[in-house]
Amino acid sequence: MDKPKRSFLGKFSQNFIQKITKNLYLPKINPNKISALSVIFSILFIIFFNYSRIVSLFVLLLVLLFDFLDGAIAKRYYKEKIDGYIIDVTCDRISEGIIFSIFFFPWFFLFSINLWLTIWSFYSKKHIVLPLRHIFIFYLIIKIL
Amino acid sequence: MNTLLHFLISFIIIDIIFGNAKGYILPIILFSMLIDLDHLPYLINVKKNVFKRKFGAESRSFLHELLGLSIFSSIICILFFFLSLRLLQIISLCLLLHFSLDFLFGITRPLYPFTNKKIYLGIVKKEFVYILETFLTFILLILFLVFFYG
Repeated sequence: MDKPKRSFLGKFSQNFIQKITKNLYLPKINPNKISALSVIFSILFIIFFNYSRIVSLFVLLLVLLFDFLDGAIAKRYYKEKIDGYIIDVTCDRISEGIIFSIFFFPWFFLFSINLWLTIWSFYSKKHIVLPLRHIFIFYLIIKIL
Repeated sequence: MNTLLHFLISFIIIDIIFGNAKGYILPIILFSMLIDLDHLPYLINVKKNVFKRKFGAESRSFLHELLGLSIFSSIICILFFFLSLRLLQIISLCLLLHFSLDFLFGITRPLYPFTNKKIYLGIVKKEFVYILETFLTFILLILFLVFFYG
């Protein structure tokens, strides 16, 4: 079973990540566990949001960092497999869903579209999803400032 | 993870975030446990052997996986125009916490029915999952009583 192919933008971002992490020390940890951490930290994000916006922003940055790290580590130490792809996209969607369930409009609608896009990606073998959390972090920074 | 644990986690997290989980106890019970109803056809099929078998990936239908989440999220988006925002936030959070717990600690087939590929994240060793589940249920039950009557 093959992994869905990334679009031009997806390939560009992957190459960019590879170039950034080329000389960087990366611990040899199971990338699936790092993906799982992004889900756990998404839960922490919504818990912290009402108490401290700055702390929650930091937690959200960690979520994105884990998302970045799991791909980088998988590329360097492990042969990329379909299992890794499934875990990565599932963790991403669950993480998005948890974060956007409290912000709701329009984010939850976009999350729903992203879910269908993920299924379509697997079906059509072309990876097309919206980088919602990356867009959301800019929105959050503007809102906090 | 067991159904009670799904309810307890949803209740406690919603109480921390929104502060009034008691007022939404019925939707929390309903939507944190709703997805587990898809175990029923499996239970009916195994009948007498029910206690010997574990609730593995096969006991879950597509409603427990990404396709189910897509269907539920679309329904919630439609309901946005008819129900209160707080209620929808609680419903979506209950469903997502259920999915996330099952995915983090159980064996799932996230892209079922498109592929039968089973996934286990391995955060906790398989033999310790039941111990962790029992321990978490006990601790969260105490926390729930504190939140509910405190």
